[in-house]
Amino acid sequence: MRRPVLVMVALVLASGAVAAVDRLTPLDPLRTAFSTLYGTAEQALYGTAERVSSEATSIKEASSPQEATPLKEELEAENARLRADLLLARQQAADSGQKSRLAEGVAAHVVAFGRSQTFTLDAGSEDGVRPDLTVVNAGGLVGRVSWSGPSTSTVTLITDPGTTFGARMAGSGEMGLVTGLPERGLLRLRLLRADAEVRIGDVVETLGSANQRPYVSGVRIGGVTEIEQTPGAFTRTVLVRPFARLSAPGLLTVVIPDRAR
Amino acid sequence: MRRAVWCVVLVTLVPLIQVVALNRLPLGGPDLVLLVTVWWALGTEPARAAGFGFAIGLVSDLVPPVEHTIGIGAGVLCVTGFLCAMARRPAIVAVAVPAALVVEAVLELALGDTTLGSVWAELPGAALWTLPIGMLATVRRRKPRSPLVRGRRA
Repeated sequence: MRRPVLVMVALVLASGAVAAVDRLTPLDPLRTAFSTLYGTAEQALYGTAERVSSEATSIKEASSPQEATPLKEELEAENARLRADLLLARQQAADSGQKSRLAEGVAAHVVAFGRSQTFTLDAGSEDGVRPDLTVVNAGGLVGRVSWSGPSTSTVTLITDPGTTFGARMAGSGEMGLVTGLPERGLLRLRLLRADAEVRIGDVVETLGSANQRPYVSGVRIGGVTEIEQTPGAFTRTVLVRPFARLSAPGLLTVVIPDRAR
Repeated sequence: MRRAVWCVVLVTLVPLIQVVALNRLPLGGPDLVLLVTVWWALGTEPARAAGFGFAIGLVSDLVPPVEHTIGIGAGVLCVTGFLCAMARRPAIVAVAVPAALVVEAVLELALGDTTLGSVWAELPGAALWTLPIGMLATVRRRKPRSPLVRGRRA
């Protein structure tokens, strides 16, 4: 009767000690080891599922699945590079006169899902992915890299309520701050000017951060779906539906604005 | 020996299944790690149940993309396993599952790993998925065991 209680108390104390150590000096070597081990397993499972589904639907562009895989990877890498180039080119056109920088995009897929607005990508620091980089897909902004291991990284979605970032209306240039509303899959945009003119369907894009991290400027975020009526408030609040389908994001691009070559 | 092998298999694979397949379900899917801990605890002694909960909790704290302080899951599941094994009644699931989910969320909030908004978005879905599955699983588990228990009592 006493021994089980002692065992339990000892294990709870051990958990507490691990948590305390992790708070003081993050246990990143342990995280890296698990990300290597489990990240590889997640990638392998994702790859198997992909192969099975592509054989089932049979993409017949290449003669065999063995040829189709490298072709697909090549196309995905090219897609990522072009998307990143386009974003950076657009922004350089906006603030013209700046010397051109090399932008690069890394293609990535979601291999595992977290409970709280996060997921794992199959690209990590070996591919050049670092924390605080912009992640986009064909629809628009998806999130930012919040942690990177050697071969996998963690993305925090824009609907995470813990992060706030700058945004502007694509047409009028009105500026504001975006916060996530995960329970509705929407974003709340607080426009700094209370009398700013907004209509349903207006496009919201990122304002951009210093050094393009975590967010590159001019990425489409979503469309206004609801305007909250708050008479007398200092800011104007609207709800925004993200363009990117966050529950099934498909092919993603991690934008690397200043890759050292 | 076979139990030890099963124990290692569950501890290493269940947290992986959780992130690869279950978390993408609508409303977040069931918390399989918690369910397996309770289920294992109902068939073993308290000290082993606590050890099992600690091990599976520690692994699930570390499998990417989980992003909270390492040790939260280990501590919560260790106590959950211990209490379930002490109670030895499948009905404990009805208390243990919601309690474990709430305590884990409270610890994450206290340590600043999450926000109230995220908790509101996740907790109801996790409870809705996990509780009914837990009840069903334990009802099924009781059936083959009941004659044995009655035999012992007689």
